[in-house]
Amino acid sequence: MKAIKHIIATLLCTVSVYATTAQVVVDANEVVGKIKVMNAVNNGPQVAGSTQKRGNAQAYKDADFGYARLHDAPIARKWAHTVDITCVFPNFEADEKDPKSYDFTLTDKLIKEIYASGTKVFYRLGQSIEHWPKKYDIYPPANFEKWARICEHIIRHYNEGWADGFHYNIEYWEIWNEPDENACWAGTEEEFFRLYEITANHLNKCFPDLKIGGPALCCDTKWADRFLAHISKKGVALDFFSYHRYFGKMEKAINRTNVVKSLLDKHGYTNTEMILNEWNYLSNWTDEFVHSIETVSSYKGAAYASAVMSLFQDSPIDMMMYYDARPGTSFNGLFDLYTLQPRHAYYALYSWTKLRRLGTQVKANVGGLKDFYATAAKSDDGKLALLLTYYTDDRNVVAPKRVTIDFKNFEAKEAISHVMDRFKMHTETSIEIVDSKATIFMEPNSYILIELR
Amino acid sequence: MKAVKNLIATILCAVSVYATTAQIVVDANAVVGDIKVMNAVNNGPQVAGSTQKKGNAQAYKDAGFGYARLHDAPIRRGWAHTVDVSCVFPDFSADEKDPKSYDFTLTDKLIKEIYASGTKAFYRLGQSIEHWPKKYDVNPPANFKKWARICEHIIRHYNEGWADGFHYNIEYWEIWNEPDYGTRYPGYVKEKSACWTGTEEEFFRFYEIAANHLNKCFPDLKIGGPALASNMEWADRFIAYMSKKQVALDFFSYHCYFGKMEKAVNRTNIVKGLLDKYGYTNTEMIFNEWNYHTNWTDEFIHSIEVINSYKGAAYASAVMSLFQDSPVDMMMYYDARPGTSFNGLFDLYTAQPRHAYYALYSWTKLRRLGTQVKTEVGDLKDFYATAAKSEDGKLALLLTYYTDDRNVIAPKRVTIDFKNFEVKEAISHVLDRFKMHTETPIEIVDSKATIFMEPNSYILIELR
Repeated sequence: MKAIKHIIATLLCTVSVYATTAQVVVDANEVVGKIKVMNAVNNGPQVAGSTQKRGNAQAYKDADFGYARLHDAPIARKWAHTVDITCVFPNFEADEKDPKSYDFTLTDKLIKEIYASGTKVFYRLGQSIEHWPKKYDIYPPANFEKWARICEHIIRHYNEGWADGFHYNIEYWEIWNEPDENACWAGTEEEFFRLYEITANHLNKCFPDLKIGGPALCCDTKWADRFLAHISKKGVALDFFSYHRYFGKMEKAINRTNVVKSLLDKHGYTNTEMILNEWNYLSNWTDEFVHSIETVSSYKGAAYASAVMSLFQDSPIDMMMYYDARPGTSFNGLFDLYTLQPRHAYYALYSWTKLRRLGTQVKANVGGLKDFYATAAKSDDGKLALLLTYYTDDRNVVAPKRVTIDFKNFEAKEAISHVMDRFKMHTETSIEIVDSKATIFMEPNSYILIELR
Repeated sequence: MKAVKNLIATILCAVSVYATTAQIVVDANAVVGDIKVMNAVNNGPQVAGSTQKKGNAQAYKDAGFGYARLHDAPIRRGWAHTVDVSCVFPDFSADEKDPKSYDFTLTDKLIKEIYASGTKAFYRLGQSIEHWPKKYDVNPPANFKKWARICEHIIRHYNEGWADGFHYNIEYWEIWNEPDYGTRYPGYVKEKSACWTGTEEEFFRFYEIAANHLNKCFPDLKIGGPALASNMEWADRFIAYMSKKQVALDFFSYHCYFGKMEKAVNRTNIVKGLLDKYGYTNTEMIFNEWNYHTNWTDEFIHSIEVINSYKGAAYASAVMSLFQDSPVDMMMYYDARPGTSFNGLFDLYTAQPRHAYYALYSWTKLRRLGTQVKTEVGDLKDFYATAAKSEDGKLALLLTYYTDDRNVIAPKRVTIDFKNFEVKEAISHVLDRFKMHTETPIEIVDSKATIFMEPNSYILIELR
């Protein structure tokens, strides 16, 4: 009798284990919307020169990031004298209507290389960050109206061919960067609001079809409230609101996004795009900073990136831009500093491009699985893909998890999967799908990209 | 009978193997001279800020590099607006006698951090390299004499307290960097040069004016240059010109990036030959940019990977040893600057020491002992050795096995004989493909030791 009881108990246990293993369910018939550009980046490719031959242009192109935000570009020596207003218009006293006052040469080269990679430019009008004790170029411009006209001519050069220019049709023009951060704006808050108002009004008037926005908020949401109140009161159009977040725990970024959304709604900017245009892993800026950098450049940084993109695909955010693709920065988890070869996080963004190319998001549910993130997409020609991530910032979690996936309303004839974890780097890994179901094991801080037809 | 013959043959073989194993011999009584500063570097420490906290200041200080040459500093964003004459004196039309014309702030900070690490500055007066198609600051200055006076005031600021300055007593002041860059190669166009867009004659005149002015103002300082890139014919004409014009040349600086030692040995011999030829027999030879390199094109990535590996450390150790026994007076590794792939000393991501750091750290151990003693490697190929002793009875040997032949993979058995030294205690540290300056037991019996060394490794043996 006791033995029978044991057997029954074991069977019940086993059944309960299988019964409580949450399932990831993908429903190919349930359309959510479009896959958004969650894998855009800051900065462009490094094109190998004729000497010191090293570049990442092909890999950058293959990743198809969508957009490259031009910010902190001149921090990379190769991109010195580019993008920033003080680089492009070096002498503020000069005549802003005269092409000779501008130094477009190296910015032209940089932008040309970006477009050659199939990526669009998102141009940040303003200055790179200055971490040193003496500031140089982050002071309020001497004349805000003139500064706006300088920006106008930069736009005309890149979009209307002015001054031996181009017709790139760059859509997004962002005014300044992190004005709520001391290393970025050495003036008062009121001065910034006024700069923004004048510039935005001028550019919106000159270019009603372009997207003019900002301010690339660092972190002060009370400052953001006052900023939005000011420009709302002044009737300034705001095509997009850009902001930043560095975080390890998802709640931090969710909270910030919710606050931003509510502020925009509060001040009447209900149709304004939300662009999270600097993000990456961070535990803190001080004694855990080195650890953060190591994470950015590891397989965990890849799982983090994958999870973040999935999470915010299902949020009000319209676009995200990873910081940073710029060579030489320790925030670049995409390309190795020494060799410029793709690193772990590159493949997370590359995987996202696969979803973008399918185009249509379909519902993917992770059930009760904690720390799992899933996004699925399908194409018009019968393909389906699932990007499933297991990301945790709890360093005590080490055991793999068994996961069953159900691809509802999709008859899988062929399947291929690629895994990123502590052993593999977007490595092709066999997967068996029977009756549209698969069972896999996932390491903590990993993702799997399953592509079906 | 056959078995006996076989046995004899085997014994003879074994004996011959042992007999032909070359020995390293260190003679503690055979003094050679001072251990030179072969492990100086380009650029200073990265001091962690209050945010984005990452730095290498302690490790940099511990290494005891001796000198930090300030070149290409503003390439690093954290050192923007520093060192280069166009950074320190931003408006060339300003009055060079007026302190307000100068922007010393961030250079002051940088140099202060270097001195706080126990390292001396070696100041390169000039400009950082510009690899992009449009050139900004590598053009000949509009007025050479004025440029010389600007340099004079920079020196007064750092050595004589001028303009709220300092009294660092910076000895070395180098005029320009790589003015011959690119001149050896077909298709050279001076306007596209990364370091000097003027003519050779313009540079010679420029150097003459600057050197004469600075030598006159500061007869006790060391004024030199030109940080030659690679063109030895250019160097010949330069030195000939200076000699003809009787321009003093306290030091001649030059660069070489190489994987095979012969390249740098050859360059050094030519430099020495030229200096002697033109009467600069007492001029210091300062080899102030060097690192591993195979080529600048299709093997460039490989070169970078080597720099940042254990092989890069063995290479550095071998180079320092080799040139200790040469006319070179000082060497400066390129580069300690954070963010450059030529930095095999500190990791980009974490700023922690990497392999090559320990090679330079080991050299400091020899420098601190002070006196070089004779060391022979016998007929061991690809071995490099330097030994030093101190007045208080210590002895150390830095022995390196470096090869650029990627087919050499087997370890080598090596016997070392420490002659004229009674060993009471020994400690050794090994860097190879498995270890990173890791303490490794060593047994010394009757002043002899037998070790096995992996290709591309070093061992530092410290004895008392």
